[in-house]
Amino acid sequence: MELNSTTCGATFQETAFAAPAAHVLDLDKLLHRCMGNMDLVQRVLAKFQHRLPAELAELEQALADNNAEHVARVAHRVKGTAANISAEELHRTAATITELSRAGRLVELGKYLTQLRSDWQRYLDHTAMLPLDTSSGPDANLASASTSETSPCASSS
Amino acid sequence: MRVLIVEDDELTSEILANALTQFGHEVATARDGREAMQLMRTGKYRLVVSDWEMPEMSGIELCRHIRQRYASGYVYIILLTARQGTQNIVDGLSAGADDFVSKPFEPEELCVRIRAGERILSLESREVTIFSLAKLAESRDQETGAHLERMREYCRVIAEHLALRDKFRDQIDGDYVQLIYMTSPLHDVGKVGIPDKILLKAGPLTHDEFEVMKRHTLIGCETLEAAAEAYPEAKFLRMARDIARSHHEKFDGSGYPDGLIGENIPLCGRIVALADVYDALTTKRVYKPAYSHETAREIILDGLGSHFDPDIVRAFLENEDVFLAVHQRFAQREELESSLLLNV
Repeated sequence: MELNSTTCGATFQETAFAAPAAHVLDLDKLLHRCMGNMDLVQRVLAKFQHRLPAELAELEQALADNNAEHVARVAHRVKGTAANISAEELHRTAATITELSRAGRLVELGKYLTQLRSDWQRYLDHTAMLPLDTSSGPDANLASASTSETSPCASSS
Repeated sequence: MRVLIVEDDELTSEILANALTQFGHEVATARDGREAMQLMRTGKYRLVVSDWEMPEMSGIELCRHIRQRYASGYVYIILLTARQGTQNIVDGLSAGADDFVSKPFEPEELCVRIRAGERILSLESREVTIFSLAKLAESRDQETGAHLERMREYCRVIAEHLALRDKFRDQIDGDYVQLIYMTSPLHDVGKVGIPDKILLKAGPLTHDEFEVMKRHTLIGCETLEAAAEAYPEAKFLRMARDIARSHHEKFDGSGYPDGLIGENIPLCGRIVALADVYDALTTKRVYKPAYSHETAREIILDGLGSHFDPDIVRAFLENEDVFLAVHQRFAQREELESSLLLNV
């Protein structure tokens, strides 16, 4: 089984739509982890995009409540998901929040939550430039423009 | 292979499930340890891929639960973790994890680690199959109870002891010990080809009947030889064949079927000969009571150099306490099982 997403033709980083910022979201890595299944990539990103605003709000509320355990739990979840979809910036910041909250260092968390918000905005800006439709919620389908190019890759896996 | 994924994060779970499905596995997912334990109760899953950090029941706790409850069939557990360092590995292995995959996972790595798990599980399946075949053959005989279980333990004790001696170092290694443990229960598999009227005869056998009875060594050998030819890479079949043919040979050449003398008798056959006789002596049979360990010891010493290989008798003498402990352990188990049956 060929796992290399470059068999689809150009990689995401080489397309006209993609920003060079792989550290925001490395779609090649994600496509690889999804075994070339573009439908799954689409679905996962849509769910992530649908879910994260609520998790950010939950983090801020938990911090306002001084609830370190709750902050750690949510931050750990964000960290894990971000790592798996290869959203490196979000992963790194969420990892820092997880560690600090586990160490009970809540006073230091404010700036990292702000950082997480800006990472999130950068993620949204970045994904808006990609040939994907992640805005219509967890059941979103591939943008019609990208379907014909990407489906052969999914089927070859 | 059926694989159970235990992962509290829905997205990660979906990505994992997709990768494993693409690699040809049948996948089920559980969101936490409790749900995983419920699915484990179906008996369908022998390979588990679990996240380490989950709310309520962690991957480590799940490992412990699985190890406590599923002793009869092995469950291979792979933990997904971003943790590093020796202490974390020690904690995971101590709890019963078999392997680790770092997060975020790489599909190829996960695939090969699952393949390693499949290999381990297939070894267990092979052992279970061999032992079931041996038990089936034994079920026609009157030597019921835990004869095969005890005998293979005795074989292992002797082989482990011999492995430490210079004379046998080239012949016996860990693999040999494992093989003899696995294959010695097949020593009498050829009895399936002996007619009931001879095999189950209560009184002594006539000369002609004994000649037929002796054929069980050849029947077992021929059967296993055919299998060994079909699967030449299966070392265990060759050892099983040698044991089936030679376990009634005697060191002085007076045994059957070939009348081999001394070290012309395969080593595995010489080991099984002593283990088989010791167990026959120390347990009750229709034709005799159970002799004490001391009586069995005397009889075996009488046969030193005539029936038994002196090196193997020495291994027995130097491990008498272990033989006795094995015998007692199984006796206690049988007593317990009898009392449970009486109470039913």
